[in-house]
Formats: sequence, C-alpha cells, structure tokens
Amino acid sequence: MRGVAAIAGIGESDTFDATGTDLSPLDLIAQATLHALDDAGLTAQDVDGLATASAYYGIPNLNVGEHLGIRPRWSDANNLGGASFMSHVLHAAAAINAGLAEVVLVVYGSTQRKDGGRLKSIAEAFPYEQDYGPRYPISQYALAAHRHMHEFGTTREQLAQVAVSARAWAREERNAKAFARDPLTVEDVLGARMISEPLTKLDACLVTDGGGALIVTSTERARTLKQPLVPVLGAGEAHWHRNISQMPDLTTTAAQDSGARAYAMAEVSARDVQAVELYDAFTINPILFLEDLGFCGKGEGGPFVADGRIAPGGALPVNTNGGGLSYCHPGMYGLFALNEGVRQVREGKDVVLCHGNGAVLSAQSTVILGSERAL
Amino acid sequence: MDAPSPLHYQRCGSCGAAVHPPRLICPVDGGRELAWEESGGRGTVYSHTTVHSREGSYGLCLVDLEEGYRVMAAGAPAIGTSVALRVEEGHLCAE
Repeated sequence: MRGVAAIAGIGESDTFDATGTDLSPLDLIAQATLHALDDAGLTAQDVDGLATASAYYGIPNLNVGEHLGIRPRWSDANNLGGASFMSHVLHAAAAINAGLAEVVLVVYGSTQRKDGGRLKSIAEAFPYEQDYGPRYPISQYALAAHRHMHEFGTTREQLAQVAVSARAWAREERNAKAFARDPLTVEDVLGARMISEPLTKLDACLVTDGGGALIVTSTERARTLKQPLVPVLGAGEAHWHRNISQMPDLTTTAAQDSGARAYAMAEVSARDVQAVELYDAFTINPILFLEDLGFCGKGEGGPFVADGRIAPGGALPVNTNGGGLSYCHPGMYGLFALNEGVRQVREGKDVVLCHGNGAVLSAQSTVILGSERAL
Repeated sequence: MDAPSPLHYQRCGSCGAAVHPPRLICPVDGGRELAWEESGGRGTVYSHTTVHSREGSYGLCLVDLEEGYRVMAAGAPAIGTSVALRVEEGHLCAE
C-alpha cells in the first residue's frame, strides 16, 4: 500500500479560542473543511468518504455528513482517542486502494475551552481505579513518568525541556497561529502548579478549541490537484490496554508495534526521518515515543531531548508547530500533528513521521509522509 | 462480574496466569476455567503519583502483587517499596 494514497489538502479552524462566540464543534469542523477543500482545489461534492471521531457526538459521522451535505459511500467512525486520525489515514488509504472511496475527508472539532476549559472526554469510569482518585488523564501519565524516572534516571528538567522546545517552535515566525507563544523556561515548567507529581500544569497540553480537516485521495488523483504531492508512505496502528493498571510496562508503549508496521510499509527507518510530529499530551509522551519509534534507545529519551536537540536548530526537528503543548489541543490533537507533517513535506522535508496517542498511552497510530522524491 | 473482595483475583486453569479484573476468558491464553483465589496483599510499589487539588493532596500507586498481577491502591510509597495492602472500606491501601 506504499504511496497509493496522498494527503491533498489540509485546513484548520480560524480560531483556537471560541470563547464568546456561538461557534459549535460542527462550525469549527466546517471552517477547517472549507480551508482543506480550498487548499486541495476540491469541493464538498468531490468527497465520497468521511472519517471522524468526537467527544461531542455519539455517531459523529452522521452529524458531520448532514452538516456538510456529504453523502459518503465509505464512512469510518474509528475512535482511538487522539490517535484516531492517524488510523483514519491508514484506513482511508486502504479504502482508496480497495476502490471503496476516492476522496476521503478526515475531520475533527471541539469547543472544550469555551465549554468550561477542561478536557471534554468520553472516558468511562473504571471501577478498579476510579476510587483512588487519579485525575484523568494526567495522573496516568504521571505514573508512567515516575516509572521512567525510576528506571532510567530521567529528570524533571528533561521532561521540562520537551515543553520548552515545543514553545520555542511555537515562537517561530511561521507558527504565528500557535495558541501559546510567550517565552518559556525550564524553571517556569518546574515552578508551575503541581497537578499530579511529577507533572505540573506546564507539563500538560493546552486546553483550546479548534477544528481540523485533511483530505486523503489516490496519489493519481492528487497529482491533478493544487498542492505538491504528499504521499502516505506507510502507516500502522496498535493498542495493548485501556486502563493504566493494565498497561504491562509503563515505559514501553504500543508505538513499538505501530511504528514497526509503518516503517515496514514505508520501507524507511528512523534514520531516514527528517521531522517528527508526536502527540505530546504530556511531556513524558515525546520521550517515550522517540524511544519506541527508534530515534534513541529505551531509557535514553531524557538525555536525547535535553540541550535543544528537538528544538529549532537542533539535530531532529520535533513538533515543529509547537505541538499540543503550545500550538493547540482541542481535546484530541492527532489531526493537527498530521497537518503539520504535511506542511513540513511541502516546505522541503522528504520523510516526516506523525504519531498519534489515544487515552492513557493506550492507542498508538503512526503515519509516515513523504515527498515526491521519496515516493 | 464482581470479585468477592478487593483482594480476590482469578487464576487461569490452563496457563496459570493471574487475571484481574475478573472476566470470563483468560486474556493470556483464552482459557475458560478461571477460579477465584485471594491475594495475601504483599507486593512491591511499581509507580505512584500524588494528586494536588483545592481539597488537598493524596497519593495513589500501582502495586505488583506477589501472586502476579497489578492493582491500583491508595497511598504513594516510594517505587520499589515492599508493601502489605490493607482493605479499608472496600479499598486497597498501601500505607
């Protein structure tokens, strides 16, 4: 399936803060869709496949299809939390390969900031954990962070470097749209309000509103459209658990499997990847994913992210828009990591890896994008 | 299905895996003969976190029990600490 499909258009809502407006999640999805269609040079009438996930609508494909006037012949309501959208791209490529669809719209929208400023979640209570009061989901990630610190000597300063590097990217001129662009230091992160040890408020992603959209089509069709070709070289998905007490090893995620599947399909390795867009719900996430996706050895993620290696000017560009820590995080960030991956290819990178994470390090989905040269 | 007490778990009759929470099919080998056993509550702290909120702070942890499964419990002893879980008002406490 290598290169049979391509991402031909991307779009995002005009705002990541809908406070004081009457905009709904569907409105933000519509804004993003219009931008993605214009970006590709398509209209809603060209769309014959639809994929979405939502914390707002129980059967979101129906709401989106009705709202946008799309009558898909292929529809994917896969919900793997924040990893949903990487999986949507994988599934869309398979559907296109099978002839079930030709132009697939992948969308997401949330107004969680406007609606109270807390994560809008569909997570159900798990009776074997809920009575102990983990603050979902930060406490689950805190448990993973503590275990990583214990096993490998990872430090809170190294965790903070992830947030500081993300902020430095958000402050780049090209990322004027990023939600958080104030200067940020390691001391700021360490001194922020402690929420669930060892993670402070600034180890946690933003709570923003926002909509995102992208269009997957056949590579053949994409060649006839407006933008430079961004083929999907490979993709893979995996999940091993739902609840944190059921995760076999809190320092090893199913990204090992999703990444291996994506690399095998793409016929590339971590050495070939020129930019990485990782779902950074919390600062421990990029450390785990850089390890599990082969950019460094297990346990080496802390030193790897220190000293600006993943920041602007560093050896490996990671989360070049500022990520969920600084760009936007409307409940689920996965689609925005994909959009940034597309921008990186359009700006000259040949191989870009986008990785999504869902629930509590549970669902892992990886997409590897390439340039025309990499195809 | 509910366990008889917070320290009860299941043992798979075919592969011997400790299974928790309770279910009908062993997640390791698909075995269907799952029998109740009761843990002695002794284990080792695998990880922990202390949650800070307006109402105050409290700890929670994951404990690897000697019988071969992991539970969440109240309290935040250091990682690697040997603990004996107690049952208080239906909940597991590590300290």
